[in-house]
Amino acid sequence: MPGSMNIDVADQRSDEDLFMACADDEPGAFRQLVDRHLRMVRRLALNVLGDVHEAEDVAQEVFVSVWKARIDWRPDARFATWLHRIAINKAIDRRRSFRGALRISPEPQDVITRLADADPRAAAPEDAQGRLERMESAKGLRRALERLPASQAQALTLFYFEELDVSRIADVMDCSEQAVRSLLKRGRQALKSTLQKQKKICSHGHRPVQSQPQRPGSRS
Amino acid sequence: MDIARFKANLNALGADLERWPPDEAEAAVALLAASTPAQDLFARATADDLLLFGDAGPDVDGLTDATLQRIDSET
Repeated sequence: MPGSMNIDVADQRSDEDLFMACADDEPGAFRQLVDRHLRMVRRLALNVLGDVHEAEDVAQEVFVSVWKARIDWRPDARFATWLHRIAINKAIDRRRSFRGALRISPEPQDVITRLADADPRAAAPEDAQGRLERMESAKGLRRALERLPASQAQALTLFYFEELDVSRIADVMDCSEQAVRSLLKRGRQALKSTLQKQKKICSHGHRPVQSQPQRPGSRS
Repeated sequence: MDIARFKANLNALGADLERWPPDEAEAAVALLAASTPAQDLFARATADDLLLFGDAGPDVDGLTDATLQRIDSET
């Protein structure tokens, strides 16, 4: 049973060592791997599928496949690289079958009902620690944005938080679409550099937490 | 779509294909299905998105348990 033991302290072993321990049926080893990678796998699937419920189902499928492969797996490549490729391929398969089904039957009642009822934020209550981490991360993001050149910060804000497309941002900022893309690229690079430095400072002396912060203006 | 254009889009627009122009998103999916270098770039950009903007999804604790239960029932 892959998750039969809950381990409170994060395991320090590499992914590869943990996965090889799974082949020996070490209790709790696979749960550690799921804890480490589930958000990333779900996000990969979400980026391909655009639907959080489908993405979560694909994420489960991915880990079922990974569990089944544990005996024959050899550490020829990084575990994470292998895992991510499985996730992307499964998400593409689901996207194709999902969109094919929608083309055949444009208004399947169960899909309409599920989409109408969908409220991903309500799926699980967030604990106080999670809220605190998200608030701290949002503050860090705001500080990092404030340090960017104004045009980069504006382009990033309009694209990622106001969710305008590039052509609309070009209109708003009175520049070309290519200029907007350039601002977004440079802004992302600068933001990444700043946030990585912040995380290094925050994690000095203790392990970084696994939880991810809330994205303002997120997709629902 | 070639890998250079794919990478340029990732660098500017991020890895959420819903935010790409629809025709480019479809071309990106075709490239992803055929190219492991494209998959690795996509994974890296997805990790960047998580670092920069966090995770919009619900908490994963319930999903972790559901995943492990599904493994128990299917294996």
